[in-house]
Amino acid sequence: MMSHNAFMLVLLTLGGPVVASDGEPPKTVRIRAYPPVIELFAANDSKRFIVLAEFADGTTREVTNDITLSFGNNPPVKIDRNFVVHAVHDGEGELRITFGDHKLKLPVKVRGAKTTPAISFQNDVIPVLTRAGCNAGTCHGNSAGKNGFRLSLFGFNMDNDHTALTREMRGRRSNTADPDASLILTKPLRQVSHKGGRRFHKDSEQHHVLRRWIEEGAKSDVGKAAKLTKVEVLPRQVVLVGAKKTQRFMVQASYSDGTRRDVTDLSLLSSNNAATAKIAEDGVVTSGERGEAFVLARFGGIAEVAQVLVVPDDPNFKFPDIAPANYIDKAIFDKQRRMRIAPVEVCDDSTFLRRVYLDVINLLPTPEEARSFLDNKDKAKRSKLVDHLLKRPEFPDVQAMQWAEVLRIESRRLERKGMHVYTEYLRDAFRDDVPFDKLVRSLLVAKGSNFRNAAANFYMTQRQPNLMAEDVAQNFLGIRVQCAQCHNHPFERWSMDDYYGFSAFFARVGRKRGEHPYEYIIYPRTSGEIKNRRNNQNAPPAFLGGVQPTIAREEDRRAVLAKWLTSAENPWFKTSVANRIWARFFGRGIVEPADDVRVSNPPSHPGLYQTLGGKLVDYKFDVRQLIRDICASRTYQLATAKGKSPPGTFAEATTRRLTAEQMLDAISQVTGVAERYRNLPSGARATQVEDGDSRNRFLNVFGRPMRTSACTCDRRTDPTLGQALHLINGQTISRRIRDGNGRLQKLIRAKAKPLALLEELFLATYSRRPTNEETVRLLATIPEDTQKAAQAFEDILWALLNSKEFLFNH
Amino acid sequence: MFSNLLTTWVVLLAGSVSATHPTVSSIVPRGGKRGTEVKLTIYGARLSNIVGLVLVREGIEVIEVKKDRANRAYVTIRIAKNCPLGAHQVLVRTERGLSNLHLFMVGTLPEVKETEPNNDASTAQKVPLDVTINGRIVAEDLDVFVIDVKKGQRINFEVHGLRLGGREFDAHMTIRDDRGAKLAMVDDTIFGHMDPLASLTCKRAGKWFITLRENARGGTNDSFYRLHVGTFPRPLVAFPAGGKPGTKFKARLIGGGEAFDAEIQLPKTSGLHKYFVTTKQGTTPSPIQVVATDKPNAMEGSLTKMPAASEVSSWWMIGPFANRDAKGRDIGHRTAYPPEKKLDLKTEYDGRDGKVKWAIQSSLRDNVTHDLRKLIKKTDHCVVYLAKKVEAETARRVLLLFSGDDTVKIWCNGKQLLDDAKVSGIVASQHRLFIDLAKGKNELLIKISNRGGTFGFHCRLLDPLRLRGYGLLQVPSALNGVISKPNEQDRYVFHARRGQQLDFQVVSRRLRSPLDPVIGVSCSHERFYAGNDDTRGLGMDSLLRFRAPFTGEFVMTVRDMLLTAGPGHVYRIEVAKPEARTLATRVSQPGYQYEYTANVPQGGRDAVMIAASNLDQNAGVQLSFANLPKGVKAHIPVFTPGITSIPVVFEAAADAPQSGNLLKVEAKATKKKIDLSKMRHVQTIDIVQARNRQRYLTTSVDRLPLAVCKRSPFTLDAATIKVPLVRNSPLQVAFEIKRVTGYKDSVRVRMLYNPPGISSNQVTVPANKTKGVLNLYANNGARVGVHKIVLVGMGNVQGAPITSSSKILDLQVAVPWMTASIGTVRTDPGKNIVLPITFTAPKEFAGKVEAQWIGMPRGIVCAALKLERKTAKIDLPVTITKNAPPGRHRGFRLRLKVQTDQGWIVQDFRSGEIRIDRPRPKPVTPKKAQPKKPQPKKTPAKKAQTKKPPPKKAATKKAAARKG
Repeated sequence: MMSHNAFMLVLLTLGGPVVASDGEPPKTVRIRAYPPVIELFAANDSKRFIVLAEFADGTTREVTNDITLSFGNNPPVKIDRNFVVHAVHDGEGELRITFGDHKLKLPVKVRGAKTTPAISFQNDVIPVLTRAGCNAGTCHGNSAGKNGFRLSLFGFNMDNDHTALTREMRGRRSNTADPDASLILTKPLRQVSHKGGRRFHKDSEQHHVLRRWIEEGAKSDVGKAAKLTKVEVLPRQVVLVGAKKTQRFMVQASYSDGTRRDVTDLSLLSSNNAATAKIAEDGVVTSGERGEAFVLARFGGIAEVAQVLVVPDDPNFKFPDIAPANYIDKAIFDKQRRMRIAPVEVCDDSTFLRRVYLDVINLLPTPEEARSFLDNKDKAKRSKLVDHLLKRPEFPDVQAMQWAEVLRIESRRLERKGMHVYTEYLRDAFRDDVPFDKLVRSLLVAKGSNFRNAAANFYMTQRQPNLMAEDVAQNFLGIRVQCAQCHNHPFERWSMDDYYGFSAFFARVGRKRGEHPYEYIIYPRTSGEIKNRRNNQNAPPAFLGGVQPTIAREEDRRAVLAKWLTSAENPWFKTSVANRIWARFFGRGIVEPADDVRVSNPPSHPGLYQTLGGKLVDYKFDVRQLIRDICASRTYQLATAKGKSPPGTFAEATTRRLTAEQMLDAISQVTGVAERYRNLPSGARATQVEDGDSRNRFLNVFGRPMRTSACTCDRRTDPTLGQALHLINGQTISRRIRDGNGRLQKLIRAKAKPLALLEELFLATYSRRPTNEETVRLLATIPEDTQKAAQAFEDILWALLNSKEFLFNH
Repeated sequence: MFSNLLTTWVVLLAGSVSATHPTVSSIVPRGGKRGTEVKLTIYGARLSNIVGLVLVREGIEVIEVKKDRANRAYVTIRIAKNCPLGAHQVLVRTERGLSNLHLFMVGTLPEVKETEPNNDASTAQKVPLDVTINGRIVAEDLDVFVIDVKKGQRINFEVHGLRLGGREFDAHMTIRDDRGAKLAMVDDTIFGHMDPLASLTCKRAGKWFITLRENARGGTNDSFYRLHVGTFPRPLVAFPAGGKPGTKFKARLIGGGEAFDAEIQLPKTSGLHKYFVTTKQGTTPSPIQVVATDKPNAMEGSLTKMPAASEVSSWWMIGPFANRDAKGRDIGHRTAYPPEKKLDLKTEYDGRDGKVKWAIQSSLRDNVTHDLRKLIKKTDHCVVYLAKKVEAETARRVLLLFSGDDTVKIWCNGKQLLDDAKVSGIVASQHRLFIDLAKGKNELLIKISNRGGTFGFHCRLLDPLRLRGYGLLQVPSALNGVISKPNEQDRYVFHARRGQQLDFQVVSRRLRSPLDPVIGVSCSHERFYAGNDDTRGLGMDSLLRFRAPFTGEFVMTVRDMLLTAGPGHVYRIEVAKPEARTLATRVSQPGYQYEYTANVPQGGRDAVMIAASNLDQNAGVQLSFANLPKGVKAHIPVFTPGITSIPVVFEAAADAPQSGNLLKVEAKATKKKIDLSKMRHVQTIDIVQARNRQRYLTTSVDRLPLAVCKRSPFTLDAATIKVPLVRNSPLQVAFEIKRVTGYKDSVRVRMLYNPPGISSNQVTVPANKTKGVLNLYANNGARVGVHKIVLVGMGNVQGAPITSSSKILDLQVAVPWMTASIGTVRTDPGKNIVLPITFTAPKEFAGKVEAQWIGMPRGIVCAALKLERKTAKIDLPVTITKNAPPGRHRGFRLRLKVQTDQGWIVQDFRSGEIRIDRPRPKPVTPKKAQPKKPQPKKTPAKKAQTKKPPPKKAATKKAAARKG
């Protein structure tokens, strides 16, 4: 995966700042053929190939139909009209491809042209069933099967599948004596009743494969046949210009015996953004609106993607001449340039001020702070502000809250004391600049009383080893392995062995009662295993990816895990932590959602994704430094542009509804009337609420998570009717506006002048001064009479608090 | 055992207490200095008639009691100069009885009151050193104190918060210097549970700020604390942690600064004791824990070490000799060849295949199965000898594990130890022989005879002294040790005979040592292990009851659960034979678990339940009270077999003076001669409960608190129960309420407790009535015999409940005099039947029998049942009217009243069934083309009739069969 990303990065940088300025068709830089070598391994073997032209402006076009082809002497292959290469005899040769001025030699190798190998159950039959959808979760791949016929999901357990096909139903499913009477043939042809309908035709390749397999004795070669080692989607990256352009893709599978097959027809193909790139069953992508899409091919338990960029047909596009502030901008600009999107302007000071306050410390700037920042003429004031905010005591609270959410700190499982000391522990760690990897290690190896050693509460939130492993993978690696509990992950590489191997690290966590009725002692045990449900054997501890470390009996398995997990070499930890931080500041991760890293959900900026992770390692996991970089980037400081650019290009700032805590704290701040929280001292902020169930209606309505799962998706920001009513009619705002000790009433009592009062309210809510137009129009509504004027100001404050400018972080 | 504080008021407010006694929520201040007078303010409910205090320990004297309001009262006490230090258990007594228990701390330091505001450093309250601050932390409160410190001074800080009892209060302490540097931040400690402690040495003269808060800044109006600050000594644990009762022992006191030596005087009683350490600097504010036991002290470092192991030579071997004679008989095993006559390693002998001589075989190692066919040619029908020299430093017993193929003889120093003529293969540890080695050289000789096939042996010689350096543990002893290095495991060796039982009890966390002990006993040469981490009732401490699987040396291991260590990780392991447990009693009111006092009204009665544990069932234990107050009588039944808790009724004369007492409980065995002098009364009372009323800290009282209080406005008298209660039958107990004039309130009457198998109801006697009956019912499992029961009446005085009990009544449970078994019959609606009933009369009686149906459904009318003792069977005609409901009727009972010389005895029998079948629905007429015509309607009806008979016949046949 890393090499893949690195490769894409190279491509991106090769795209370079070449700009076609005069409207002429761009110059072809080179042509490439996919696959780079055509190899055929059997008499019935065939391969297709694709020729891609790359242009000077970084765009690409498939030119397979426009090339001229020639062979050397006695070519070992023949080519049909669809550019499919068939074997003729053994030997080597080359295909000479000409496109305009560009020439390319495509080597061709043929082996075993005289032989037709037997149908492999593992490598032929199962892929046919998968492609036809037979073993999908909605069909026979369901854990309960369908209508008595049960296959493993996407063929992860082929032995069982073979039994199901040949032994069950008294062998009626595959009748070697009379192959055409086999149910596995008659059902998908719909010769007999089949609820799943017709899956393929009698003259289709799929049918022939199944029929030949039965003819040949319906044998299983599971474990004996060559193993699938790699799947590639070719070409790996294309840049299509304009809509309705087509591009063929092919899927190539490599096996352990060195053979390679074209499995485009046997793969499951899909696109993550059909509006930009739609993929048909035969691998042809049609471009749509501007944007980025990844086409996903799944074959034999492996998923791979290729990137499709669709850029507008605008040869005159010129990327603005702006200097990147740091490495973040460079990576972001590169992609924007390729996608022919210009980033919007940098936002004004007040927007930046409000945004950075909310993102770093979950609070609005006070009018005084706003004034002093806006009036400050220092050119470096933005970076100084960030430095200042990172030192504020609210910063650790925000960080602790974010992690507390996914670490499930709540009183139902932890009891009040445990919950409190655990939260304090996280806050202290962020306050005292404990490197994040060290913090994670301290949690993973925690032992002792959960009252006296707060980190031990980490093991109080989950008691089953496998659930603990799920949480750890999702929280610290961004990987969701849950699916692999019952079957191999359908969109990822994670198998059941990975799942139970990873769970085994937590199989020896002992818990016993302490002296207090709610106190527990966490201790490492020297025994305890977890059974792999695939084979009912004890799973040996293995890192994700399959490496099994050697662990002595007395050694704490968790310590071994903690070392691997937080090491700089671990490709997931650093990147996923960095990505989480990024996501907080942009409202969207480079991998989105930030806790769902998988092949089928690739990063929008693979290079930057790796760089951010690398930076975090360089900074010794000091999150403050990474935040400094992010806030310093021009990309973070962009203005909003009402969604004119596709998401994930970061060409404009995303408007984000204030989170529940931000909103309630902001309302309290603006109105000057604090909220009371259960079990917290007065003056506490919503960010400091320690329990999952805050028992606060406002926070619940606005989607504060209950902390019952490790998923970031538990925090909801979607609008609901309840939220609107709460703001418009609810007590939360109206009570505060009228509160005698509130900001407004105090100002009125102090007989502040209307203009000053207006400015104060605008600075408190929007962190900016009112515009002239706003001033004129609002002052006109204020009557002379003092009492009525007070009423009018109450209305103004209510309106400000209900405005989009207040409710959104923009 | 150790912890002593309480909080029942939470519970009392929850309404589970039955009497009108007062409830106390807090006593302020929570402690006082020795030799001073303290004015206490008592908060609670129903305090307006306060009379005084009942103090469990000596040393505090009540000077003045001042009534104020129902929820507040004042008491002035004088704490004697020699008053015992620490927690004093206090109950408040009013005219109506005793309150729940509270703790009052007695200390040596001057007392200071916290004054608000003191919420930050600028308003910090200045206090001198060596004081006790009485304070309170309400919600969001911070209490800041400032002290002056000198360079080099060692200052100790101790908070008494949770340990004062009451609501669960989690104090948190931070100490900063005048530059704001954090010197200490303490939340929970092992020594103080949730109470923080700290010990700091001052490096620079200046001011120190002590900030106290509730951990999560909670705190309530009841969150009181006592903060002790000063240069007083604050050791946390003693090493060794104990000695023999009544003796002085030297101990090193660890924690709270430099460790120092002191001499500790133990009380005369065995068990865990509190000890206040006093030095020139002062006295500790709270005690350390020490143990007094009869076992001799053994110290980790000074045990006899196991000496060196024996020197063992390699195997010498000689052979082969012949095993088969000329006739083909196996004679080798019984033929004594020269080597077994005299062991001489130098001489040559005549072997089977010529001359043989002894040769050293260094390849024959221990604990390996050896195939001798590799060393000797032609191993069929041969005999070989193996010899070993063992040099022992001391005379000792070693273990030989041996197995040979085929037959084996073993000698040591010429003495034959084994003669195994049974042909067998090699099984490791087949023979287990203990060999007593003499000091010096020893000779071990083994003879193996082979018939054919495999030929070899497996041998291990286990000298326990391989465990060289391990301390040798004597039984009984009290071993004292420290786990001072991380990952350290302390190992000891002890000898046990096969089947011998030993108890290893670790006292560690009960000493408030940070060590969480795990104890294990293993045997080094076999897969045997027994261990214990925590034992219920001992907190985090371990108790291992070990039964030796064989005679030999065993290794005992002790370590910390988390392998942590430190100078204060002290343990004390009591090793002894399991001791018989002493009888212990406690008040245990079923359904009223927080009720442990007796409040006897003048001229009235009060009842409590007393439960016994470790009771000898056949001893016939009779309890008594040594110090009953004047005019009070106690009615105490005997603990008969099967009974572990008894009702005790206290009865006060009308002129008995009001008083508060602590009754000493004594016991005597009436049937068996057993010593009950060590009998104890242990009332464990929660002083702090965690959420959901879970027990956290407790205190215990060794006497039964009893108050003679003001005359009750009513008395309850129950009539003697003359008639037995028959199993599966009801019985009514009549009672009478006598109210004093002017008392107009209803009284609810219930059983004090229900004996097993007996249930009862509750009856409310309205204000205008005096008499009532309580219904008892015995199920089929109720024990036959006499049960002691008590009725309790509960009235109301000014909104508070007040109880009065009856005398102890004898309730006899019996089996029936005459039994009835009712048959099962079936019928149709409107069709009369005959119900068969059979009778037996297991017991003699002369009187009449009356029968009565109870719960017979309407429409079923039974003929009159005329019975006498000899009646064996009656076929009772039963009229089934048309409106008798169809269905299976099984709910009715036949009540037989038997007239005996004790009276009419009620017996219920609930068996039998009357089944009335629902009439078959008429088949639905299929709608025909001409529905208006009346004629077709008849035919289906007929059809239905014709269809019916077959099932009917079957049913009647079945019924007939049943009858037959």
